[in-house]
Amino acid sequence: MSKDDSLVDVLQRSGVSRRGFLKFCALTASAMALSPAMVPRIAAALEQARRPSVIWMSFQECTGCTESLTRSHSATIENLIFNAISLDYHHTLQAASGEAAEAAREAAMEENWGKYLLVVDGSIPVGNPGFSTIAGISNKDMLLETARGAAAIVAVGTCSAYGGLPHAAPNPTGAVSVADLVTDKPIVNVPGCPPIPVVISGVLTHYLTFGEIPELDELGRPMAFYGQNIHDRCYRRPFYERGQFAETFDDEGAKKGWCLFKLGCKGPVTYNACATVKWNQGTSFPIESGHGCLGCSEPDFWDMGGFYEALSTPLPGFNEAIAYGTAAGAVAGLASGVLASRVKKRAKDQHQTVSVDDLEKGESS
Amino acid sequence: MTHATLERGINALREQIDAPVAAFFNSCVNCGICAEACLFYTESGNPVYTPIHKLEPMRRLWEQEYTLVGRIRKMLGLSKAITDEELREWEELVYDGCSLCGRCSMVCPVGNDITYMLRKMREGMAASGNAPEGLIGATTRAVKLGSPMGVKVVALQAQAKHVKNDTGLEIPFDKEGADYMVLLSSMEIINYPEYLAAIARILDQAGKSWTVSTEAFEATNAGIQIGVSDIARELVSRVVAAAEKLKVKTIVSPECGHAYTAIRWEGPNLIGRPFAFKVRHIVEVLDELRKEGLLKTEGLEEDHLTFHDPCQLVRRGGVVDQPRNLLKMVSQNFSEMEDCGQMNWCCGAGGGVSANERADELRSKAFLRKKSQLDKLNVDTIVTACANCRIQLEEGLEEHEMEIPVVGLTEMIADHLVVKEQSEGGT
Amino acid sequence: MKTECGSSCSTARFEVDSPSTMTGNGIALLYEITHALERYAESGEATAIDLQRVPLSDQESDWMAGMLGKGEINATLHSMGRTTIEETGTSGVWRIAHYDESEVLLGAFIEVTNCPELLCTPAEDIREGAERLKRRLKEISEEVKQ
Repeated sequence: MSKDDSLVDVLQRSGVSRRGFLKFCALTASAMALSPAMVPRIAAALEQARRPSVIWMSFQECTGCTESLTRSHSATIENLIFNAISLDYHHTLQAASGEAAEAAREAAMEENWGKYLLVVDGSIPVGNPGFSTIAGISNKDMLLETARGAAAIVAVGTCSAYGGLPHAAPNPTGAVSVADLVTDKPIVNVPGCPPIPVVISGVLTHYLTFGEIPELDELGRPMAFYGQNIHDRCYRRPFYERGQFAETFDDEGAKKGWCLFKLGCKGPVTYNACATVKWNQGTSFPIESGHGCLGCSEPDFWDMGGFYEALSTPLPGFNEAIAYGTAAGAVAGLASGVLASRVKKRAKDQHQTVSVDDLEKGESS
Repeated sequence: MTHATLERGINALREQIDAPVAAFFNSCVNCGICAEACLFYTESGNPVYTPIHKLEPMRRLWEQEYTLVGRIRKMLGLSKAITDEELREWEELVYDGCSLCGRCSMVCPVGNDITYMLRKMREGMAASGNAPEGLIGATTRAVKLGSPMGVKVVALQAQAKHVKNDTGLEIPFDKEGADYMVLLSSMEIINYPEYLAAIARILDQAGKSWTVSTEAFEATNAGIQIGVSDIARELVSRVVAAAEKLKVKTIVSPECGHAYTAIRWEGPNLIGRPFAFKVRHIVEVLDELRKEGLLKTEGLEEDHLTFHDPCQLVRRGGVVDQPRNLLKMVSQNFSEMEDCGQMNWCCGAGGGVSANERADELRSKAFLRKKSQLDKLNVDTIVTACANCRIQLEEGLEEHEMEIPVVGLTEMIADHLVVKEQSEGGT
Repeated sequence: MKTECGSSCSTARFEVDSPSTMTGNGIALLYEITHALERYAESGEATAIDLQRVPLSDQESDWMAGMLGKGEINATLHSMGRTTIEETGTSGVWRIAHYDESEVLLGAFIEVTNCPELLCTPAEDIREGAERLKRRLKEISEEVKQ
């Protein structure tokens, strides 16, 4: 495949008819969460589209985001999109390693300077650059260098979008997000742990199709996928409205599929497309499998209290009570520490030297 | 004269609860993996011997006095205070059913040093008068007579005379400025006098100067076993005073497990300052001599051998390779025991168990673990480096009518020393 | 809109009878379709609705299908996997479902129009068809001459 091939050329070479192309456009619109009315515009844009060069860099991450995208069970729209881009550097997927890999990255950067799309998964440690390096280059240096020639950056996964797990308290590596370091490029955040595969490909397709990044919310997420919260789109929402809640994971309510709010579901404060797009080729999503939403597409979701603690309880003023209780607990804990050291000090002061004559039992004084 | 009381015991426990202890209790997840590591549990099948359970009274005291939840529970009467009856009940678990072998600490998935806590637990037990009679007797003899077995310096001097008759070598008593000050355990003086002769011959061949102090020759430390730091300190201080008086370079701990732990690891902490001299186990000294080329042996043992690792050497002391280096010099048919090295099973008599007659039955049951290890090997001779292990092995083997001799490593090396040709080559 | 999955994830599917299984979105969709039909009748403006954007329970999907009824046309397109195009019993309302080569549902749409674009032949294809047929006829007439 030459770099100058258009997407349509690629599709036609793989035996796709004009009706097939129309089907592809309809599904692409769906993947981009665009209205079906946009299909003709998409078709027109795709006929002009050139295969963009994509450089994918992984920093402090678990490869879950790449897995999410590549572990589709069958030939789907994501695969077609991947055939249509030129993935020039992805150190998990590429065959080359070491100097050859870095050379490929530098060549792709030089050839497409100012035009390539940079995809990042994983957070960047700034506490000590040595915590994560590639070919001896710190993550921070590599990001800043590669970002300079990028047309746009897609931060895939909660780690690169908001710091994610590495950023969770006490953040031992000083992990930060891409947007914390790069301020002069358009950045699309595609959070999730991991993000839904079609959401990742949808954003890439949007860029591929229209040559620009999609409309974003205040957290840098594409409105099309993150515009509505899980709760509003959840099929269990009607139970919430009626006050029908599962109280434990094995009670009647849980068996009847009632709302999981009281079991800690973070759906009401989580903006993502899980409830509509779903997972595993549209099979289901966490709430459908009987577990509350963890809120993985929100910043600092690791530190938002327990996964199984309800967002709030119906009692008015309860939250304030908890706040006061926590403050009191902190004071008591501090006092407890002081007391503990006093106990020990007193014990030391009261120490009576034990000699061999003291080993036999006597009356308690 | 004062007496042991519950109050003194509880106060001692309070004193012993330090940051590691608090962290350990806090981290315990009650998984019970330590049970499988303890031969008193595996051989008796009785879950009361689960190592962490042996610490229950101490854990409760920690919870009641050092944690907020525990304080509240105690205030509400939800957590009962520690009683004398309870400690008396625990005495059997803490002394009879624990040889401080350290195997439980090795397997704890959260890294709790359970043995460290058991050693501390014994402080409270002893101060509250809940230590076994046998250990109290041994401790009293150690303090008053200078040896837990009541061995006096005249007995040692008599053995020295025998050594001179057999080898022609003088035992150098109270020699100032010697390279090594050799300590002995009472067991070696009474049961295995060959050890003293072996040392004399090896150090003579190596050309090292050495001495035995008549003021402090006893290496064992009953204070460590019974768990009274005040007594342990007194016993260690005697050795330190003698070593400093004689200005020796190195103290040599004999073939004894806990004596090594007592003088090398607990010693400086007990007296609160670093030593001015080095402390080495005899096996370490022999290996150093080997490295320097000062240990010359000839001939190899015909027998099929194995080595029993003393717990205090491998687990608490990290002395694993040295005995093997030495055995290589003199053996041709050597098999390792299953679980050898750091995870070797205890003989069942360490940590004061052998000094506690009440524990005899449990101790011989605990030996079954060692027996099953030996059954798999079919060896002719067992080598070890601890007199206490040696006695337990001999007794156990006799009980099961297994005729396998047990030999001290130092003696075995001495048996293979290249005979000096001084009389012919010199003058 | 249901794909089969193993028994492990089907246990939590709720099995309560109507109406508690209704999200309420089915009704709303039917109103939207009604408005679209009126709009098409008035101005000829077609509407497409992406069903993947609207959460529906399985029972609700079935209920909606029943409400719309079964129509006269049922076509299958074979390109990049199967696509079914069928008119519902409510004239002008079409159901289109796209599958991939492994029969996994990729997307489903409702189209309100007199004929979905996918059924119509693309103009380029008509031109190419004419060209190809002309070429073929020419070949035949040359064969006859010989």
